[in-house]
Amino acid sequence: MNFSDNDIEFLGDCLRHVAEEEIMPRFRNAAAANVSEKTSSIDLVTQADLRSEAYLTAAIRERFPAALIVGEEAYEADRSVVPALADADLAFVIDPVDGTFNFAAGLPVFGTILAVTVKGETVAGLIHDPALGDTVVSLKGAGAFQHKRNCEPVRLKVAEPIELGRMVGAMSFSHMDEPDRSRIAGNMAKTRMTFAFNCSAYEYWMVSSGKLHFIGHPKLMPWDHLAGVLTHQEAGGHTAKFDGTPYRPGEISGGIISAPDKESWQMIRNEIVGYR
Amino acid sequence: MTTAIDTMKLADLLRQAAKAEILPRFRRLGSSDVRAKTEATDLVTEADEQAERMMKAEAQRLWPEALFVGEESVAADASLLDEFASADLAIIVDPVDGTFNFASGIPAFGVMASVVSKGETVAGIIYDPMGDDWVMAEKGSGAWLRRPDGEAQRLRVAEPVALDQMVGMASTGYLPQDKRAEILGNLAKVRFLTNYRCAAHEYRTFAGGHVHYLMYNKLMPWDHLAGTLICQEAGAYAARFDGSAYLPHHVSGGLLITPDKESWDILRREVVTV
Repeated sequence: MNFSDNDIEFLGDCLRHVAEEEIMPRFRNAAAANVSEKTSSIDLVTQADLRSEAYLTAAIRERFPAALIVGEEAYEADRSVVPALADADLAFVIDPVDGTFNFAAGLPVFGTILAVTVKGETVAGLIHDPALGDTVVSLKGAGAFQHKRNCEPVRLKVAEPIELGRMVGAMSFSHMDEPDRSRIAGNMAKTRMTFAFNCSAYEYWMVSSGKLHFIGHPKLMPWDHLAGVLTHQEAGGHTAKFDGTPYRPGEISGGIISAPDKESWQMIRNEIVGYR
Repeated sequence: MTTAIDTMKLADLLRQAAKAEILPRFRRLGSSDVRAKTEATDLVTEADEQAERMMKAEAQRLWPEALFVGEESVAADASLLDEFASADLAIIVDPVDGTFNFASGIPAFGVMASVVSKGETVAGIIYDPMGDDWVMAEKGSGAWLRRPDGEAQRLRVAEPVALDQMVGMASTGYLPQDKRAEILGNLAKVRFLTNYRCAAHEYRTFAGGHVHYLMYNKLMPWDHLAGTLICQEAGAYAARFDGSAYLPHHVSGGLLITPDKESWDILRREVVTV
């Protein structure tokens, strides 16, 4: 299945539509956001999530009636949609508001993520920034570009590899279990600086544009990672699961690291993740 | 408590400087505009310098009796740091807090100001240029979120929770290397650690009741005086790692802020093992 420029433009329009109509009007507007907790105080869902996913699902279904459409809400209703990504002919994976904690806390660091997979391979990824209006678009084999209103698209490129002690990185150990949790947290002291934005959309954009050197996550829900991993690869980076194998649509466990190249990947695997 | 400085007027000055000198440069910086100060991650931008220059000129016109202290002014004259803490009246400004984010095009940065009188913080203001609103406090009058249309909302810290349920922010980059690994490891005991590399947004998030702890090691006054007062006025317990009060002349000794004393004691014992 070939994905045309028109299709990408259509998806970009959908993302801008939900940003303007469903997400930004609810930002810093507690009454309209209507936050509720899913499993804990950091796992939140808002009206912006629910309404955006509903809009995107309906709009994509109308254009691609046979496609599998996967989002957090779709997954809540039917868990088989995620493993089905491994061989679906055409699938769309949606994270309407990635970084819900930030969104709910009033911090403008969140994004809308959309990935397109064909027979178990990610062929396109879009990461939209509702607060600023930029979109990062990556196409398999054709590079990753940041599109800004009224500007030429800018090609993204990962950072140059450097030694670990000078790297800036983020590793979401707060989502890990012991003993990994405290070991990996302590190992992050080997880097120049560590931080956590708690938002995959931003982390993948930053690591794909050389604004930080590496990121790592233990949980691989497809809406958080598929578009970002393609973006990082198309920007020249190396991403793999902790066991060294590629991350593929449909997988949800194994941990993942994105680094500037294979050699730095191995160093982060050894020095930060360490024994497993 | 009234101060010699109209807090709303100072808040407006922060907003004007952001609109004139900061926002127009956001995501437009060429790499030549960003130069290393002490190292690559400590960036100073044109926005910083121009915004401070504008705020200083206007503050000296409006409040000629107040000593003006900004990050850039101190870089030029370090003796200001000793002088302001005992001055009758001083205004301390951080024109762009979160310069690393600002320079990277990440919308988590802020403009902060505090007013210090005779060794005590009497007012604090944090302006968010992206959201166009302030969180602010005058000593004894509570902490408030204010919008330019006049809307105001009182801020209140989060309810205390158990250690393994705490969500918060800790800056570990300025700790000595061995302590850094130990404290990062200890932070595995809390539910969640974030760190936005921007004190302005971290204080804002805490004062709004969204997180349960803030921890800092390096205490430059422009980074922490305003936020600490705002959190205290929102009901927080704040103290240096040795339990003493954080005062304007302190630049070291760490700072831990929590919803109450009990949470502070737990974190001090279990996490901040310095």
